[in-house]
Amino acid sequence: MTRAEQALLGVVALTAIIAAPALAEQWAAASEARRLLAGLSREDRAAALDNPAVPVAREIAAAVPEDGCVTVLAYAGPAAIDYYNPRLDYLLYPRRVQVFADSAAAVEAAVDGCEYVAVFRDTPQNLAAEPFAGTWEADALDARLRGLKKVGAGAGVAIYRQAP
Amino acid sequence: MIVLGLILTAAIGWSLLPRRLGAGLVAGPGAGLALGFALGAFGLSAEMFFFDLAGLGWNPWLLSAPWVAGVGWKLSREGFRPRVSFHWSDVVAWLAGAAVTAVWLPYERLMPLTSRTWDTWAIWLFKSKAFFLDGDVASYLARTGEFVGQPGYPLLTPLYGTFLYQIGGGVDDHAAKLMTPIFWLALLGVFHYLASRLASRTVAGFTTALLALTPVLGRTAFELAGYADVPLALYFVAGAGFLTLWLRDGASADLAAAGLAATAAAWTKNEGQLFLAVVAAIVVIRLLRTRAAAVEWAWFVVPPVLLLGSWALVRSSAGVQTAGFTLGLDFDAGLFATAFSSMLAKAFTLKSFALTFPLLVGATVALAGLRAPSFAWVAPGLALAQLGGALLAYATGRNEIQWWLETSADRLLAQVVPLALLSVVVAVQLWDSRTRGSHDEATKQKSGGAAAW
Repeated sequence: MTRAEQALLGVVALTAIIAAPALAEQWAAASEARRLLAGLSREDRAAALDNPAVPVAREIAAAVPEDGCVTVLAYAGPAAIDYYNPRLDYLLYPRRVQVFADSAAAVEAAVDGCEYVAVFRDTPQNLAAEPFAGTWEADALDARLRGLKKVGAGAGVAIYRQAP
Repeated sequence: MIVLGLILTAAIGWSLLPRRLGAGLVAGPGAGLALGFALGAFGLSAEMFFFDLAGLGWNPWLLSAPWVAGVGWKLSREGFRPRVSFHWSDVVAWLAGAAVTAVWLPYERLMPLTSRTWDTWAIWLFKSKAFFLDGDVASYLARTGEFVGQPGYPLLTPLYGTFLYQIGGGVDDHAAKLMTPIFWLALLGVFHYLASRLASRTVAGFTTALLALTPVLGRTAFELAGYADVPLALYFVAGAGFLTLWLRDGASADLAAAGLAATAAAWTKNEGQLFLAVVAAIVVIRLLRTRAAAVEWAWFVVPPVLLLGSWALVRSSAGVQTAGFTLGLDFDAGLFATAFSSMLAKAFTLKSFALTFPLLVGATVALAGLRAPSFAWVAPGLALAQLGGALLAYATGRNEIQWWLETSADRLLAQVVPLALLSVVVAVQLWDSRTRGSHDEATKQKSGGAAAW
């Protein structure tokens, strides 16, 4: 080896020493993840780590056809709404999806011709971390939903279809 | 089946590689599969784009047919004679790569897509899913107003993901995100190949180990599987390496490879467009100075004009704008200073990037001190250009700067890590060649290293 190559080998050894704690930390994180998730199916792992987006999407997908449109009324914090919008877009594609923290959107959805309405309440943990900050008129919403046909429910979500 | 698609990509690409690339080494199985995967993923995504434009659809057998025909034609002419060579320093690189893979891969295979891998499902694999389910690109582009997923971003990884879904017969994002660890392995292989041609096998083995051990690059490859930063890093280093070799040796095959890699970078992420522009500027200056023949120009000009020009037309005709920055117009010196200090701190954090960026500084100082020839400045020059481009983006963008830096700066630095270490390769080779006598140089030529310094 040349002097330059010897110096480079020293750099490799030093880098290995620097990188070792990060690798050890990741090994521990992987072991912990295995302990929590190893017995679960791939779908259940997704549901466990992405609650409630994945189970909610599963319920909506079962009730809304692929060429359908669904307005999701989400009792959730502002950042959560920003998350659920693209997340449900992805999970439910090619369905058209719009997520609002505003119960009045159920009426607007009908005007827009979006035939399905899904109502869900975020998990208590999520709401404790980030409280709801939208508009939610429960009585008016209940009255509106009474005029719709319930086509699915589960995982904290209820799905309704507008009358044709 | 998706794993079969990944293997098929590498095998087809390897089979189509020229037996000798430029004036350099024949690619053995490791480098051949790495270069082949880089070429295959790029080629398949471009093919899918043009098949879609031509209205041919995406039948996987029809997509594979031109590649299989090409492989058959090439094998009938040249046969299949892979050359296996081994050097003891390769063990260092293999050990480093194997250690990182052993730690990260089981975790990556266990984890589904969650909120932590936002860009994977909001941008890259979203498009793969949409293209696969729609059967074309246009249907998604017509609906982009509904989504937040950067519709103007280029299409290499989305269309390659769609190819994998076509091979697999359905959407399986957990399987498709394996493409990023594979791109990381290909990055190691391509880097080792280029370093072997630019310097000695020993330097190649050691610097490939440095690349494998860089913590943030490994995290980007495995924890952020499905992101496009590692593929981009691969095409960056391929473009820089082949460009350096072409400037040094003058072989047309290296120019063609540099052009394809730079085009692939621009076809992967917007950062690649700056890379392509800088590479193009260097190539044009050289071609003008040497009064190169038209065919030399064609090697470099045709791929980006054809592919990126067509994509620009498709995108603009659908009313989709690309993200970017207006140089000088929106420049905010305060944002620039914030971004500069933040990226500097991150780059020199040992637990994130180990010694990569101190080594880049050392290599640059060494090249200056040794009065390096112009080709030796390609890798550090491109690394600095990319970092400068990132700073300009931060200084002219309108996102909340701290949030933006926290979510992207590490990945932007990770893209540049292979360029920084390629600068080290070049500097070490120059140092060696200047400090050794002619006897050592002759010995080195026997051992298969580069000798044109």
